[in-house]
Amino acid sequence: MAGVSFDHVTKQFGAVTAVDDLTLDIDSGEFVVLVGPSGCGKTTALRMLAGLEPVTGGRIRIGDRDVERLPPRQRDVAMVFQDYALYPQMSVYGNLAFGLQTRKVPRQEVRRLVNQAADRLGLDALLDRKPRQLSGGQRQRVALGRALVRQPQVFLMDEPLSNLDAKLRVEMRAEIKALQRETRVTTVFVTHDQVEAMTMGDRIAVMCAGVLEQLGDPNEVYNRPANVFVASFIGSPAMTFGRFAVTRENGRTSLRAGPIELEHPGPAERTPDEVIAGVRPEHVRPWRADGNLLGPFSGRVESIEALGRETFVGVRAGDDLEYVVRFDGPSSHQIGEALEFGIERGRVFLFDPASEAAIARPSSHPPASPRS
Amino acid sequence: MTTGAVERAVTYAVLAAFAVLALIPLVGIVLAAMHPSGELLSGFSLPSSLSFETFRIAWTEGQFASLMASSLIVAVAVVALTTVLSIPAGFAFGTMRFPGADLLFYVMLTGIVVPFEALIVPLYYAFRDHGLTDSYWGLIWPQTALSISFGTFWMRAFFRSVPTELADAARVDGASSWRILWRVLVPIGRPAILTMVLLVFMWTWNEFLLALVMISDQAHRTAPLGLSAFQSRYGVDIPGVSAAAVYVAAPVVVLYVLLQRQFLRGMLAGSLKG
Repeated sequence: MAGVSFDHVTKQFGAVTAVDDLTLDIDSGEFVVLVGPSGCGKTTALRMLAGLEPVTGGRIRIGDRDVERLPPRQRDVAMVFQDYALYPQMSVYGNLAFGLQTRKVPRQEVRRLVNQAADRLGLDALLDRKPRQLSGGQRQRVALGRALVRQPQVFLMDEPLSNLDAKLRVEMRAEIKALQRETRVTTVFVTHDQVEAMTMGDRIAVMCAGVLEQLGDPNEVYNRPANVFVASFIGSPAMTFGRFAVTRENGRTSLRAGPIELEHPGPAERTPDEVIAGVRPEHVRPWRADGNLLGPFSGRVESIEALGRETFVGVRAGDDLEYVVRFDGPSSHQIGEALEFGIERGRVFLFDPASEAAIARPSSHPPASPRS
Repeated sequence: MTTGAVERAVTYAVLAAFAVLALIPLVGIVLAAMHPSGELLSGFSLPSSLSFETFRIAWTEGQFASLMASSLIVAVAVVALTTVLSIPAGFAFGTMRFPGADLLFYVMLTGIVVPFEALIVPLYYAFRDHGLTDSYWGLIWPQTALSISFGTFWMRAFFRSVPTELADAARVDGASSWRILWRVLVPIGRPAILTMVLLVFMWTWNEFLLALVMISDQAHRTAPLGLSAFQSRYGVDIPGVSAAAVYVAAPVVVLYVLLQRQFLRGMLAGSLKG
């Protein structure tokens, strides 16, 4: 197995910068997820690593080799594509064997390796079928098998689960994770789905507009977001934000925006006069005067998202102030009704309004340096 | 009748009318060929008896055995050369980025755009100087050159319609461009390739003007030229020329019938992806 490193890698398509000065080190055997919205450069980064897209600048290393000038076949990577990209005219066996045959592996060995991979993925009975005779889930397995059978240095996966239905996606998530744990092959997995990123990655690299915004383990990225983008992208429903004026009275620093007044979550010396304050939905609760909540605040119900076990109710508390209130189980509120809610003490994230970088987090999670 | 049934009846009526319109001249030719050779005919007429004698006479008098052999040699050579050269050219233009690709492609297209009649006289003198008239090469080279323009254009459209992920997957699997082309893309391009084969075969087989200009000796004459044997100073042997026309048309019809399913898929391949 081998580690992977991007060293100041840039990719431009004409005047557009798709990947901007990406520096990222992935350890041998690690499972790293590149996550971000469409067009953030994550797939381009993966394709540069695969050798399918030339780099404009910077270096890419796999193990101890510089690979950015090497063609894909010399990089010893295997890739799983979003649409599987199975060879339609070949049987499942042919698809699995193609890469080995291309590398002139002896026929007996090809058979042994294909059978081994098919056995591992439950494809034994399907080896003679053509891809068009398979279900979506089976095609996905063949695509995985095609990567697995080659025993490469690095697995590259480009949104491989996005075409599956929700149930199958959860199953395949676990399967891919188990497979990676078993083989310990360094894996770079691209997705726009933050749940996939949180559940699968040893570490998550959050990208936006070609820039790596934060790299960290799922807990770190969730609890110590480096900036407004990461805070808003990771977590579902998303963190809500509002601009607050910082007031200092009698040694106490508080944040005020319209009818909402919050406590400053940490040391306040270097806090600017205005901040962006973010709150996650799980920390906004229906009002209950038990001392744990700041409030009561009042808002009007604008949306209701009932998930069975919990219900998220969107409320507007002021001109530019929206919050999502989390109810255990169902909520009896209707759209347009008034709703009293409170925000858990010490759960406010603060960001600089100019740079949008984090300046304070809930006290149990001290700030991390951006792009750690 | 329900609206659906009426619609279907009208559809069938319109299609049947067009089918009849298309078939009338063909049936007319076959019927004319069943009249005795040399009989004077005008317009659509039914033979008094069903006789294939004129077909036999036309085959021997027109020397169709030799004409068909010549046509077959030329058509097979043109189709083979066009296929072997157009597939890699279309692949390069369709999937690779290289400097001057657009310019080269437009140069390639001149073969489709410039009318062949404009080139044929200078071509004749050039070929005569090189001793290529009255030879199969005098027919094979110009028609291959023209067909490659179309073939490259056609195959480029096909390669552009194939999802790029397929070639990417093969590339990551370690395949060279050559292997990707022949092992991955050509097998799925069979409908497009067979359509090209059929069209090029048909155009080559039916080519009359080039053969008329380049060939004067009997040994190299192609089938369409054989039709002129039934024209004399005093008139045309209508039953004879009709029988000859059936011979000339038959190979293309047979090939079309054999490949029609692939042909239709190929014609749709450009418009419907996947």
